This record gives sequence, C-alpha cells and structure tokens, in this order.
Amino acid sequence: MSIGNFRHLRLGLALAVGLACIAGLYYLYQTSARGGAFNISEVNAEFRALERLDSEWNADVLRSRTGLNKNYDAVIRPLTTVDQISEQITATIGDLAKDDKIKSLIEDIQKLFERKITLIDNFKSQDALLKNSMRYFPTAVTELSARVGTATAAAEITPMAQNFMNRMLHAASTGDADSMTAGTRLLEQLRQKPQLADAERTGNFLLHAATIHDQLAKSDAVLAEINALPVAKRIGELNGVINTIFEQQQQQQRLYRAALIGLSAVLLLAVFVLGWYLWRSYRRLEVAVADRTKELSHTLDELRDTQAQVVQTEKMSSLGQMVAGIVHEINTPIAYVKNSLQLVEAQLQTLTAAFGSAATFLQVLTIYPRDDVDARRHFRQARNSMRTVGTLEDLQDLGQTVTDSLEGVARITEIVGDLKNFSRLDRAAFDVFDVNKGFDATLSIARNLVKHIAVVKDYGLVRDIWCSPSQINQVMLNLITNACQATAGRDSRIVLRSRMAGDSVEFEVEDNGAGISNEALPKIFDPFFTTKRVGEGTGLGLSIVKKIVDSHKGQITVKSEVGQGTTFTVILPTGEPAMAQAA
Amino acid sequence: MITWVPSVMSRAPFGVRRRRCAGTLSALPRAVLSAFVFVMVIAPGLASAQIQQEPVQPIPKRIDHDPKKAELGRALFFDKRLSADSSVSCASCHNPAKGGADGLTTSVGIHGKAGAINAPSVLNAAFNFRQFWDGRARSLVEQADGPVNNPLEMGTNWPDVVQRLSADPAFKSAFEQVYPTGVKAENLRGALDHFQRTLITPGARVDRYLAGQTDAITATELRGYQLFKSYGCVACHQGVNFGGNMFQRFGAIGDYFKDRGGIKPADLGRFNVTKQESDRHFFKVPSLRNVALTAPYFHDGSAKTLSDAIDVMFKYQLGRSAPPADKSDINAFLQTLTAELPANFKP
Repeated sequence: MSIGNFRHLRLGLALAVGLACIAGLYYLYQTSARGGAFNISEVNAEFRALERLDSEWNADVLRSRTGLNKNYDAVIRPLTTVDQISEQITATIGDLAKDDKIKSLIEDIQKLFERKITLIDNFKSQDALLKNSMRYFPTAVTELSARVGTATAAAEITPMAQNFMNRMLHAASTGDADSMTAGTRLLEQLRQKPQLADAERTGNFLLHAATIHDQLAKSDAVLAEINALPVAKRIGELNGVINTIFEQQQQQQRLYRAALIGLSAVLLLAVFVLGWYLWRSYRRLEVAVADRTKELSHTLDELRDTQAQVVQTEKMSSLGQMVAGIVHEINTPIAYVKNSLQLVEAQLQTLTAAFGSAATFLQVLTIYPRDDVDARRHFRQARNSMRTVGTLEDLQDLGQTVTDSLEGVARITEIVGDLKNFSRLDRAAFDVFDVNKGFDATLSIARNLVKHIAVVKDYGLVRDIWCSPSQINQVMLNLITNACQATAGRDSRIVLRSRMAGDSVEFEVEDNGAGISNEALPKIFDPFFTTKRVGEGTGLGLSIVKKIVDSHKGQITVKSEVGQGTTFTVILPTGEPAMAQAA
Repeated sequence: MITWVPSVMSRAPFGVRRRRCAGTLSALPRAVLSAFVFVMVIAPGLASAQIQQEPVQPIPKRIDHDPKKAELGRALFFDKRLSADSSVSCASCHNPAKGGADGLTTSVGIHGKAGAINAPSVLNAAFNFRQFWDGRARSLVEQADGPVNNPLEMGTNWPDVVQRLSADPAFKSAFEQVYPTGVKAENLRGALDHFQRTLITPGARVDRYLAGQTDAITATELRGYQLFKSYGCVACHQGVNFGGNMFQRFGAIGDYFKDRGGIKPADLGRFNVTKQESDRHFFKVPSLRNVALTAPYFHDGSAKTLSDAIDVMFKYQLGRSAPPADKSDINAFLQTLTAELPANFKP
C-alpha cells in the first residue's frame, strides 16, 4: 500500500511541476509580449511639440512686445493647441499617467501653463496701455506748453517731461535699472508740479506718464516671469521620467524574455529527456514484448499439446465408453461365427464319417467278392452314417450357415475398420470426407446406444468437405451419444440431417429428449461442464466438439426446449482444395 | 516700412538690440504724418504685404464644422425648450434681427426676469479667445452651460433640458442620426458649437479693403481707420476680430466706475473669476465687428449710441480728447465693420 501511495505522490508532484512550468511560461510570455504599453517615439515627438509650442509662445509674446506681431492673435492661438497636445500625451502614455511622480509632474506643468496664460493675459493688457501712452506722450509733451500756460513753467516741466520720456525709452529698450530709477524719480517730481494737477487741462499728462512708468515696470516683471517659468524644464523632466520608466520597462521585459527563453530551454531539455526515456522504454518494451511473446508462444504450444492430449483423453474416454458396446457388438458376431463354425465342425465330422463309410462300402463293392454279409454290414454302416448327416436340406442349410458366418466376419471387419479410423492419433490428417458417410460410420459404432432408438436419416445432397475425418467423426459421435443419452427410456427418436448451406455443409442432430435448460444452455460448450452424475462422462465432450468445429472455421449452434428436445447444428465450410461434387 | 506711428520701442530683455525708430517723432505735426501714412497705405501693389502689417485682419470665409451638427445646433439655438418655462431660447438674447444681440441694456430671461449684463453678439463669437465678459468660458462649448444654468437667463439645467428634448420623438430621432449616443448634454453643446461656427460674417467692407480692394471704403472711413490706429483704439481692438483676444481694465486711464457709481457684481468683471485684485474691473475686450448693430454698448449697456461709446472709450481707455470730426470719422469707420448675416441665421 505504501508503494502505491508513493507512486501517486510522485505522479501528483510531476503534474504540479508540469502545471507550474506551463503557467510560468504563459505568464512570462504575456509580460514580455506586452512590449511597451506605449509608443515611446510618439510620446517623445509629442513632448517635442509641446516644448516647441511653449518656446514659440514665448517668442510670440516678445514679438508682440516688439511690434513684430501687429496684434495678439498669435499669442492666443496656443490656448487650444496646448490642451490638444496635453490630451494627446495623456492618451499615449496611458496607464503611466497614474504613476505618482508623473501625475505630480503633469499637474505641475498644467499649473505652469495656467500661470503662463494668466501672465500673458496680464502682458497683453499692460502692453496695450504702455504702447498707447508711449505713442501719445510725445504729443502730450509737445502740447504741454500750450496747455499749461506760463512759458517758464512750461520751460521747467517740458525738459523734465522729455527727460522722463527719454529715461523711459532707455529703460524700455535696454532694461537699464538706473534709467528706471531715474524715471521714477522724475515722475515723482512731475507729480509735485501744481500745473499738472488738473488732469483734464493737461490732457491727462500725469496719468499717461504714470501709465508709462507703471506699465513698463509691470511689463518688465511679467515678461521676466513668463520667461522664467520652468515650463520647458518640467516638460523635459516629465519626458525624462517617462523615458526612464520606459527604459525600465524595456529592461524588465528583456529580463522576462530572458527568463522566458531560459524556462523554454529548460522545458525543451525536459522534453528531450522525456523523449529519450520514452525511446528507451519503447526499445525495452519491444524486447520485453518479444520475450513475452516467446513465453506466450511456448505456453500456446504447450496448451495446444495439452489440448491435443485432452482431446485424445476425451477420445480415449469416449472410446472407453464405446469399448463395452463394441465388445458387445463384436461378441455377437463372434459368438455367432463361433456357433456356426462349431456347427459346421460337427456336421463335418458326421459328414466325414459318412463319407468314410460310403467310401468303404464302395470299396467293398468294387474290390472285394460279394460277401453278402460284409457287404450288408458295410451298407448298413454307410446308411446309418448317411442318416446322421441329415437330409439334403440340412446340407444346404450348412452352406447357408457358412455364408452367415462370412457375413459375421464382414461385420467384424467393418467394426474394426471404424475403430481404426476412430482411434487415429494424428489430428492434422486432412482428407475429403462425406458427411453422410460419416453419419453412417458413427451410427455403426454407436449401434449399441442407438439400438432402441428410432433413427431418422434426412440426408441431403452434400459436397465432400475437406477436413480431419477423425475429428468430424468424433463430433458426430459425441452429438449422437448426447442425443441418445438425452432420450434414454422414452419414445425416443433422433433425426440426422445434412444439407448444403451456401458454400458450406450443414449437418444436424436432433433429438426429442429432455432438452437443455436456459441456465445450462450458455454453458454447455464450457469445458468440464456436465449435467451427468460423477463418474459418468468428463464434461469435455461438447467443448472439444466446439474446438474442432472452430478449428475447421465452422459454426455450431444449439436450439433446445426443455421437454421438447434439442437440435445441434454444425456448419462447416467445404474447405480447400475445391473438390468434385459427391453424390 | 512703418504703418504704426510711431514704431514701438523695442524692449529686448535678452540684450538683442533692435533698431530704434521714431524717437524724434514729436517734431512732425501729426496731420502730416497721417497723410504720409495714408499715402504709404494706399501705395499700389503692396496689398498682401500690407495685410500682414495691419493690426486688424479679415476673417476667413469659413470655420471648419460639421454641417449636419450645425443644422441640429440651429434648431436648438431657436428652441425655447432650453429654458425652464419654455419662454426663452438662445435667439431671445442673441437675435438675428438685432445683430446677434438683443438691443437691451441687460437681457431678459425666464419669467421676464431682468438679467445682470448686456448680451454680447453671437456673431463672430467663434473667434473670441474666451466667452462671457469675464472670460470664464474657454470655448463656445463651455459657454452653453452659462445661460442654461443661470436662474436669470434660462433657469434650468442640462438633465431637464435633455428630458424635455428627448420627449420629442421627431427631435430625438433626428438627433440620434447625427449623434449616435443620443440626446446628451455634451452632444447638445457640441451641436450648438458647430452652429455658432457658422455664425461668422465675412465680407465686411473693411475686410474687403484689408484684402486689397482699396475702393471698398470711402476716404472718410479710411481716415477713420487711420485715426482708429493712431489714437490707439486698435491697441485693444486688434486682431482678426477687432478685439475679443485680450482682457483690459474698463477705466484704464480714467476711473470709469468711480464716475458711474453703483458697483454691481457684474462690474467686477474678471475679478469674479480669478479673485485677483489686479483683475478688478477687467473685462474681455469685445469684438467691434457689426458694432453698428449691437447698441447699447459695454457690459452695463450704458452707452446708448456708438458715438456715446466712442466718447467713453476716449475718456476712460485712451485718456485723450479728440475733436468731434475725428470721433465722427472713427464712427464712420466702425460702420464698415458691418457685414451680411449668415444665411442660416434664422429659425
């Protein structure tokens, strides 16, 4: 029991390992085949586009500032494009967008763009006002003297104003902080002038000056901030992170692929090893099979021998059964012949004496002179002897007796001939055989058994068959014996039939005996199955019959009904070689 | 080549020097300069090069859109079921007969409620960089949410609108043929967007002029254009839409609101969106296209006529005075911004 368990364990283990390998293979294949959840070159291209957009945007802002762009349309165009590109990028990187670092970078970039947009909005408002006031200011300065009145005040203010203008221009074009500071100071001084207090009278002079100053300062700040926004940097960072992750993924995939290859190699090796084992087993199997076959062949031969022996034994036993009958059979004609011969012997003695007396008398008559007394004596002797012989009919009867005896001898010869046939050991002696004649031969052998039974011969026109006559005889004897035994002591009758069934010869033994029960019917051909009492029969009869029929490639069937009778039907092919029709 | 008088000082933060121009312009009388520029402008054979140099541009004849969706949007635009009491449609405040606006100081919503702000024209709104006076909507698609959900305008919400519209089998089937996913808020917005992309008015006389047809505008109108530029109106009302692409403080030079008084939430403008002090009273610069059709003007509808509006602009945005003749020329010029309404802008 422990060995059996162990085997199960090993099998289970092997199966588990096998399944694990397959699962591992599948898993590795899937992970290595996933091959980059996103298209890195597309992603990089999109990032390039975003970077370009950002730097172009900066350039357009400056172009607007410097007047190269005549309006702000160029500076609002990127608003929709930024959104489009961002969406594209998010779509292309797919699941990667859930990564924390990437998410925070994306949010950063979004915030930076928002800030940029706000700053640019501010820039536009400031730039417009700056340009307008700058454009107007020279005129305002020019008209100042007309507006303000006194020449001196004008002479004082105008230079200051022009100075302020120059400072502002200088600061605007060079970013010079000193100019800016000077401008601021000048503005303050201008603010102190009472003549400039009335905005409407001075044509909003101070307001414009202040606008120029304030907007310039703001504009500087805004532009500086716009350009300082680390948008490009963050985009680069994000791109870098994505590339790194992509690289890592590639790396991992390479590992997975390597593992996949490794596992595949190992499995392949295992397959080869298994294959070699199988081949080896196959070869061994061949050898083993050959051995077994030899064994089996031996056994088969032995069995055949045994079978032959058994058949022989059965034959012997059935023969033994027949001995009594035969002996009886032979005894009758022998007694018969003995009787007759004894009769003839006795009669011959008397005849011989009579013949002697007659011969002496004749001699006396011929040789000796007539002595009436001697002659009469010899005549009386002869006459008496002749009387003891009997009449002429008696002599004729003697002849008949001899004929009968000869018949008896012939009968004995027949019986002996049948016996000889019957007891022949060689089982493979094939010969032509006439079934009808076979029936007759068998009947004569079994005469003792069948003598109280009505035998009906229903012979048909059958061809000779090529078979082992001794065996077929045995079959017939067995069937007839069984039939007789079945019908013992009743109004018994057996029918022997023969006919052609296609290319085969069919013969039948039917009896009106006790029949075979349904339980026994399937078993009747089984060896050692018998319904007879112990000591009667061996139970091998029908099994041997079946064997013989099978070996002749024939067929035996039985029909039986309890109380009605049984019919055994044997079909035998005519066999080879083809033979002439026998009547 | 100078059309901008004078050329702006180049501020180059990274030290790239640019040629300074016109620092001494103060020596020339402005009129002479104007004439000089005038001659420069109408010099023949420089039309296309000149267009690029102009701060304003003609609008394209067509914006890319899906005609089937636009047709659905048209039906929706005139459909009163977009409002809670089915009394107000988009067209109620953006009326084709009133230049895409409604001719009222402030609009009227459901149940006859007075709105908070003057309705801007829907015409050429597709060219604006933001929608609403305070620029809170980034696109026409986003803009649709505003009136639908505003209690003073349509006073409803998208689920209700969807329900009302879905109950109409004819509408529903027509809609589903174009939008397979059916009557949904995003599809309704999309349809309206496509329709509004068709509500553009190319072919204004100024556009024809800018395209090179020098006789498209009269001499007075041309003079008005020059003044429009030289006074600096164009600093904010520039670009393809004569505005609509930037924010500016209403009262840039003067204090408009101080003078007007009665500050309402709508007057805070961009501040309502960004909450930045620096954005207080900032509004989206409106487009001047078809301005002649869309009185009254400004977010509060305070200027009843165009000349009123021009006066306010001069005072508070330019901080300058101008002779009436100049203002009237500018007015004349602004008339050339009127174009034919698109053919499909009707119920």
